[in-house]
Amino acid sequence: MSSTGPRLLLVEDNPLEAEVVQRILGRAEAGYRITRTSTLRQTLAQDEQDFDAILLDLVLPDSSGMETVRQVVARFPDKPIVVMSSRDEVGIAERSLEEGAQDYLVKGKADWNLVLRSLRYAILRNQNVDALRQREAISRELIDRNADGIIVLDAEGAIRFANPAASQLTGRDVDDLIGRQFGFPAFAGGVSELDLIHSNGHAVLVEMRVSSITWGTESVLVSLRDITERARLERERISNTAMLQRLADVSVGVQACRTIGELLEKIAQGGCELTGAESGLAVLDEGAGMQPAYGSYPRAEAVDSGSVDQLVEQLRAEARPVLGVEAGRLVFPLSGGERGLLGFLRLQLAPSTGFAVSELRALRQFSQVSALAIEHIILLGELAATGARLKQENDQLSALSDISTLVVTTLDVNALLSTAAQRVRQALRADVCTLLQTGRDGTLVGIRDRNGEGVLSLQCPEFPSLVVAREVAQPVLLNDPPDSLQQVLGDSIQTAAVCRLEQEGALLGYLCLGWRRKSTCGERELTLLGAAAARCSLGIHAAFLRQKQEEALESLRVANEFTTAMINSAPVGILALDPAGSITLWNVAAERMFGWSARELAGNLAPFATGDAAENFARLLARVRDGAPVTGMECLLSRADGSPLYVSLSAAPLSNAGSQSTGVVVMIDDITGRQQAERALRRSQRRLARAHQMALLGDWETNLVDGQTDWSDEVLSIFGLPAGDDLTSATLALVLPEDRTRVEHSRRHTLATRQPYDIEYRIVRPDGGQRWIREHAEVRLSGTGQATVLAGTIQDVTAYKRLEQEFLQAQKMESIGRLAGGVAHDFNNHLTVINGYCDLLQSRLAPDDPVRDRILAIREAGERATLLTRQLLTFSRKQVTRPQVVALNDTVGDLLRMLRGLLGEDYLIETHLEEGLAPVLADPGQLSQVVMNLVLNARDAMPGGGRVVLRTHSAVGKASGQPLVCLSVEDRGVGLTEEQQRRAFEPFFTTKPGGMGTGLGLSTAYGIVTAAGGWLEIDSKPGQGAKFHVFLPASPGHLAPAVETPALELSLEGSETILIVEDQEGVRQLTAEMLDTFGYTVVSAPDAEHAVELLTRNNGAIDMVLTDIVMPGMKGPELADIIHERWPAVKVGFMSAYPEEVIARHAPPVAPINYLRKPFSPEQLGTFVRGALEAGGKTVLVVDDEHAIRDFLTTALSHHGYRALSAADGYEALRLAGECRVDVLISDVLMPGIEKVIEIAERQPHLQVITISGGSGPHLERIAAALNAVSTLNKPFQVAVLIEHVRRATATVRGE
Amino acid sequence: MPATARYLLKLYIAGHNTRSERAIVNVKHICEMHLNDGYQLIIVDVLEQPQLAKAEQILATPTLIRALPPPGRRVVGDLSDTERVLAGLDLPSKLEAGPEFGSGNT
Repeated sequence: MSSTGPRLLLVEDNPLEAEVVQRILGRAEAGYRITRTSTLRQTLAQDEQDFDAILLDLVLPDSSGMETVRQVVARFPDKPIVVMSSRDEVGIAERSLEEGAQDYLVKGKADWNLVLRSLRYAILRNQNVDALRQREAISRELIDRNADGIIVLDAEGAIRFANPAASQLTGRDVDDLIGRQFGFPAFAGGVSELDLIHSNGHAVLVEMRVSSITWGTESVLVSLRDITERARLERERISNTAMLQRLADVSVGVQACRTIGELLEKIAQGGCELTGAESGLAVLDEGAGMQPAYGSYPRAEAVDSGSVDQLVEQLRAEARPVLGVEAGRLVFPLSGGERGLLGFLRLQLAPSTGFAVSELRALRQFSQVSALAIEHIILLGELAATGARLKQENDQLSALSDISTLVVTTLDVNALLSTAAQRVRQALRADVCTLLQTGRDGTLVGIRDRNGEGVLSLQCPEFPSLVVAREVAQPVLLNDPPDSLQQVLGDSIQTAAVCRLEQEGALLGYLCLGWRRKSTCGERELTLLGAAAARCSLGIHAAFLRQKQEEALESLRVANEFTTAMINSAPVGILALDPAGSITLWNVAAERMFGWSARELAGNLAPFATGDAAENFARLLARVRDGAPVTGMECLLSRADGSPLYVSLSAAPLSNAGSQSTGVVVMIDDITGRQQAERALRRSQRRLARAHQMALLGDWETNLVDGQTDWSDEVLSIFGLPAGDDLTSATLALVLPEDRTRVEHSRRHTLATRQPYDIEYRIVRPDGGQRWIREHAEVRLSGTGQATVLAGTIQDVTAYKRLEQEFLQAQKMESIGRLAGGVAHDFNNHLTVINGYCDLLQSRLAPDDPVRDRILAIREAGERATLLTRQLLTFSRKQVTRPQVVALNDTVGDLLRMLRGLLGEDYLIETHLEEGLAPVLADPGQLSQVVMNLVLNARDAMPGGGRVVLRTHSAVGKASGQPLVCLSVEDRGVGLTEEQQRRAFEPFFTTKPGGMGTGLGLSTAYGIVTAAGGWLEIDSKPGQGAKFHVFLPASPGHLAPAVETPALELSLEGSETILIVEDQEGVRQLTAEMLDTFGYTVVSAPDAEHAVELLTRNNGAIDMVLTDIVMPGMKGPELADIIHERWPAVKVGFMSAYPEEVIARHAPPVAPINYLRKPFSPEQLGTFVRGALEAGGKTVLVVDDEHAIRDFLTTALSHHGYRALSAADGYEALRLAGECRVDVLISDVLMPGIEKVIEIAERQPHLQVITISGGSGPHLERIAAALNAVSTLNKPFQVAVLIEHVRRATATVRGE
Repeated sequence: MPATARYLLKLYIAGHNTRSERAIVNVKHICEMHLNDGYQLIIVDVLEQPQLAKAEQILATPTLIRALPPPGRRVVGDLSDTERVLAGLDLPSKLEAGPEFGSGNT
């Protein structure tokens, strides 16, 4: 048997059964240790310590059934009991379990395994319950015995559980607490302080802690700890700290006091604040060495007795050196310092309060602090009293000292006395001080200093009734001052002190002091008053003496000033020297003259005479001193800067009252200016002579009395004459005969009338040179009005004359240029019309028409006029330079035809143009002009005709190596002299007979070439012709493509298909042939009906229908309507042999019909067809204020198939443009209402604008830009150019 | 009780001390934050009026009671935990409040 197995008490009366159980259970793995009893009595006697479980038979000898179970369970309530019975009844089993058995087994039925398991479980179960019971017991013990109250609350805050401590804290039974509402804890942090309300109504301070627990439902465990004691201790600690703080605070307050009254109040207040007493009283005992005093808090507290002494006495009686309170009063002695008891502090407490120990402790300390503070103030008071006494004495001495100083330093006696009065008043602490001074007239003048009111002056007619003071030699103090003093010192004076002011026995005045109270003025103060009075007397006396002295000095000063002013304002230098020669006087004029100041010379020898001059001057002085004065002696002296000074010197001896020589006075007059003026005059004369020479100006003078004439040298050189006797006639002889009479007349007229003359005349000098002379002369009169001299000037003005003439010429040309510029514009308009109609006429005339040549002649004349106009525009500088890269050869080539026309038949132009010549950068128009001017010059050099050779070739700059292009114009004419070559390019220089040349051709050429970076050279000899070479730098640029140059002849050819509708067969045939020649495909119809049929058949193949207007059947316009409707792309052109008015009858048109007049030339037909095809009914609006231009343009445009409208100005144009669609607008830029044209251009973006202009310039370009012009036509222009521009414009109509 | 007051709250304190002050401050703050004007607060000092405390069976202070509307609910402590106060008294939290309390007109 195991010694560790479970112990089993087997209760079984049957030995066999017991044997079986013992055997089986003892053998089992569990190893039961079995004790057996066979009766209930036996069983109940067992010790429960000896077994762990009971296996119980129900039927025992001394008990049976349920009774057995009940008895055993009652005896061993903690032991597991398994019942084993032979009775198998459900009722018994259940009842056994109800009675406390763990299990019920039926003997024989249960196998042993079941028995074993049942036992094991029963034991185990019992063990668990035991453990639980023990734990529960411990917990309950813990909770019950816990000093902290513990309650458990449900979710509603109702108490579910409370321990005894909780019960104790609340003064309520646990049962009473359970179920009560405690309240749900609502605070943060898990710990909070809470007042538990005890059933006796008191609050108990507890610390509450909460934690969640699960006790069936969610609950809250609240622990409550009594912290009343802790809080009390904490409060006490805080109270002590506060007490200390309060003590510190009130101590500081006490120590800050400066007066004893304030301090006592503070002490009373501090005592109250420290203890919470209702009122306090602090008393100063007389033992403190000060007058008894008290202070109370609050201040209003009434003192029982009116006397402080009594109060002190009372407190002294109350004071006891013990702690405790009687009748709510506590009296504390104030002591602690060296002086022992100083006073008492009495505090009256509130009825319900008592003193804390800490408060008493603090109070004791406070009383010591207070005592020290009282001592401090007593000490301060003593110190201050001593200091004040010392200060007063010091003030008095200081005042005396100040007055002494003032007597010495202050000159103004009034200032002295007022200050003295103030100081005396302050030093003696008087309220008023009046200082009376006797005036010269015996009256008294007073100066009063009133306390705080500053210094007042007062007049006393007499010192009223100074009986008291008059005889008083020493200061007196009057405690009951008489009225007289009251008047002097002012009202309410209680005490006065008076002291005489005297000097050497003479009365000078009185010093009076007044106090408004009884004065404490003692012996010492009166002595001080006497001393102050003595000093004031001295000051008055000294002032009196000073005044006298100053008056004497003043009269002397006035006299002296007069003399000094005289000497210093004298214009001559005045100096005085003592017998030794030292300077004693040196006036302002002398300073100015010599440059030495009087200060630097005082006591020195005269510095202006040096070397020998010094000795001479010394001798001179000696002579004068001996009684020989000098007057007006001229001599040379030196200035301070070393420059010489010419003077006129006078000197006289000085002597004093005793006729003793005291020196010499010298007067010096500066005559340097006079000398300098003379020299300046000489210099001026020389300059004048030189000026005459330079200005070719001579002068002469004829003495009318003796007839003698003086000539300046310049006159001789102007006339080119040698010096001779009879210059008058010699010069007159040189005057040109035609001017001579005028010269003679002028001279005579002047002598007769005395009016000056100013004439110009020409002379021929002996060397042959011609000169222009200007002569001016006038008569000079003597003092008596008699003519004495005829004086004149002669000037060679040849150069001026020449310049003047050139200037006049230039002005003339400028005017012409301006005129020409103005004319040229209008001229261009006219030329446009002339040339334009010529072109139009030519195109309408048959080639063999005899008129053709004449029109050609007009046309060529127009072309020349065009060139001339351009020349004029260049002169007037109205052309803008537009350099571009051009080929010189092309320029020459283009000009040739025109040049030949200009030169005429007598001249031959020969060209030698180098191939591959480099281009140049120049304005093409200006370049043409250079060529033209040179060629025209060549022509003019050969009046009888001849050959002009034009060459171009490459060259290289000699110095620079720069590639050049050279153009030479060569003639075999008269040639140029060297002089002419030199001046060839001067403006207005011309060799041509008057009026023939402008002198501008070559100069213009020169200007243009120079501007282009080139130059001109002349190679010529008189009679051998001339070569002009133009050198221009070769340009590295490329030639601009010749886009701007339209074909001069319009192409008449075309490849379109034309349908001719014509009833006359001959005309139809001819027209068809002509069109065929130009390359058109032609179909024809005899009438409109056929035409429509053909059109229908050749749908889309026919480009244009050319129809007769007047036909049998359907008329041309009707056909046109049909075509426009059905074949809108097909163009329609009319032709007719009838004049317009006839046509109008046959076919009234909406707009004038443009038609081809029969008969027509092939060119006319071609032009018309081409125009109709291209113009296609496009509308061109012409705006120009020139009527002729307008007509010409509309005619030319109509002729070329355009519908042309015209307007005289912008306003009309605006109206027209609003009425119908305009495709192209041609507008002049200088005309009224141009802004309206700009408006049209802006409004109709599809519109193509071409500008026409008679000139050029930035202004015109701006307008063209504003119009957004596609091109510009320069007047005059060819019809072909016009049409080309319009075609281009219509070809690019915007928006189409 | 103002016409608009919906809640009647009673705060029980014991004397004027820091605990009471804290509770008063906290409850006022909570009411202002969460109840707008819809409340009336009565503060009862149980030391001054012990009969009221007895009637209400106050076990500890500070105690805050929601007297109206019924059922009565109560919380204890310094009321420093607003959420617990609101939950314990079943008061509406401003944060959860619907339009009824948000508008302040009810």
